[in-house]
Amino acid sequence: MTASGTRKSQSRHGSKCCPEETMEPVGQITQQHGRSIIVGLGNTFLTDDAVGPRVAGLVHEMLASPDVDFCELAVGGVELMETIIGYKNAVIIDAILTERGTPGTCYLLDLACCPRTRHASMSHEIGLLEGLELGRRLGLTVPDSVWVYAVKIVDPFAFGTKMTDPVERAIPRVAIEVAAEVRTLLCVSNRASQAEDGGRQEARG
Amino acid sequence: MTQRITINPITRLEGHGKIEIFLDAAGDVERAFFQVPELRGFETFCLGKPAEEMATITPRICGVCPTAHHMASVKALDDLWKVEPPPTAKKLRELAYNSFMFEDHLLHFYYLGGPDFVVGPVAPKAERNILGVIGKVGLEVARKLIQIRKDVRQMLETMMGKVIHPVFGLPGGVSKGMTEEERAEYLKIAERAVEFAQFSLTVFDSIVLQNDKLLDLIFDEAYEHKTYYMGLVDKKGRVNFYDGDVRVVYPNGKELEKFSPWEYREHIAEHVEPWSYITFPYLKRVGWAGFVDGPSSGVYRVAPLARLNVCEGMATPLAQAEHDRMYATLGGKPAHQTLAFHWARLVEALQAAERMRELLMDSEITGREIRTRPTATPQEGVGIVEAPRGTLIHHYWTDPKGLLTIVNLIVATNHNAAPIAMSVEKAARASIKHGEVDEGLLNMVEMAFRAYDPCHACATHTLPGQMPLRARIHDHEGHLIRVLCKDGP
Repeated sequence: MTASGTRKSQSRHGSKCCPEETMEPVGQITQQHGRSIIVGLGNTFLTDDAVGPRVAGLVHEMLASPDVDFCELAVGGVELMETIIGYKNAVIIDAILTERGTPGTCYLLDLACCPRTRHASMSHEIGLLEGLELGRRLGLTVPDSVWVYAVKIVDPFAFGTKMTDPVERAIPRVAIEVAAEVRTLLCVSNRASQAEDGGRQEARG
Repeated sequence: MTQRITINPITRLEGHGKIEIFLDAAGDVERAFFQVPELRGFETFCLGKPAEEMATITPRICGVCPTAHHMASVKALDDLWKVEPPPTAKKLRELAYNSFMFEDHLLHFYYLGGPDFVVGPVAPKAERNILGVIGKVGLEVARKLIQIRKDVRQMLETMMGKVIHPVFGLPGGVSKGMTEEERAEYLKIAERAVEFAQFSLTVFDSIVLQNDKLLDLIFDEAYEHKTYYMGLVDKKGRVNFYDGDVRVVYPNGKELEKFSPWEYREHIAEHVEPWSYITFPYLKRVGWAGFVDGPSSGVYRVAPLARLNVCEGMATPLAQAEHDRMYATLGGKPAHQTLAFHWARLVEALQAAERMRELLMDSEITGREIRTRPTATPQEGVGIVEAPRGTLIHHYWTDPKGLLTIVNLIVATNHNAAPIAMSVEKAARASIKHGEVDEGLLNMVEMAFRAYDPCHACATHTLPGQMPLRARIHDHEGHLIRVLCKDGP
């Protein structure tokens, strides 16, 4: 799985790959060979919480690739894990509340630095890392690469379909930036896979 | 004594739990408050919207139980337009609803409640999670769990559109029927669901019931409240998640009252406290006597154990046998052990799976008549279902054009708000004696409220997704003397 440093999405980053065991698919769980998924996390009725689905939808349109699927989820946890299983790459776009920073700023989160869910106590509470680890232990095909983008927001609590001004204004810019970066990330990931496949074939030959 | 109670808006983080504990002069707990900010204002948000949109709007209240809100809403819309869905439509709805109950209950047992029991309440924190559960039950079981949940959710998606945003129920029926091919395919899933539900009960038996320490924990007085109970029952008094009348029983199990969904406001009132955004429903006929149990207190409980406590029996044979076994172990009916909610949840999962199978064996489910078109002028409608977390009430008023003028929702966690507060206080009392605070306080408190499977953080999706929990302990003069946290790595 790719782990990348925490930074604003404007900056480029160098991915580092961890070796992974080859996993066999389980039962009838669908395999999305070589496909990628963009997941927008959030509730479109909770003011700025809609930013994930909104940005993700735009990014999906901009990528305009038949190999990239789009999904909107209102919760993370098990559903998120079950959604991204079988895909080669997953891009997750969510909202984030931070003490510092400007609303509308987009961050690429470092999964390796995210604290793990230690102790679930509600239905929402299976963290992404825990979910991926679970999938891996079960022998499910978890994505080679998972990128989590988070957009700094103001209000994810009030019911409403209108976002706050700074977040609303930032959406087109953030979508363009994320789409550009994701396009690069997916190309890098695909080239790495092709090189890996080529190496395997050579070894067999 | 000076009491300082602070409700700090900055704690309105998703799913943030805050406990304020006040000690008396002897250092024992005088009061404890469990505060989780509740999302409010949804009803106001809906005003002026066309009522028929509620079936697609309300599932977005909560990402965890969208199907429950969808179904309660659709039933309220039936009532609003005074229209009776055809038998096929009712069966399709009930199938979808039981499928949802099955997968949601399994989610709770293995992922959430499971760590407490399957891994053990005193296991290291790092192991008290789903990965620890897998360590105990084995990889193969976990694979089966993932598979059956995925199968059921795919079936729901085919039937209802997206699971999180269902577009299935309509006033007077459903939007899509079922083919014979689909019925045959879904029946295989239902068979596997029954098997897995039965297997899950054997897991509970071998890991929990055969372990004296865990059994003692279930019977621990710290996790017991002798309250009233509420739940939907069918005409024979059996558990029904989708439809029926609301039955309420005394703490001794005798029936207090049974009423139709339309009458709920004559039986339920809501108490408010200045320290919480959550309202505390109570039984009007008994009255509010504070956060106490017993026959003179109108506090009642909903959700799996409550449903089993109010029923005459289960609606399916395998679940009935498990129901009987559970009450034989717990010492009869009603059972007041809060931790037995986990057991009751599994019995219900079995009924849900059996009911899925029954409905799919009924040839009428592939009938073509799936909707009765509404023609009446809307005015007022009520819909009630049993959500996994308890009784869910939707009540709408509209103008003659069908635009919403008043909306009232009572969600399951609302009903259980007072009992949860009581359970937290009881756990705090057991953990703090003479000013000495047991380090296990937060674990005990968590176990107490997790049994109810509360859903305070509706529509949230935190990454990495843990629930911060803080206990603030004040001395008898109100000074903050200690803070316990569980909100970081």
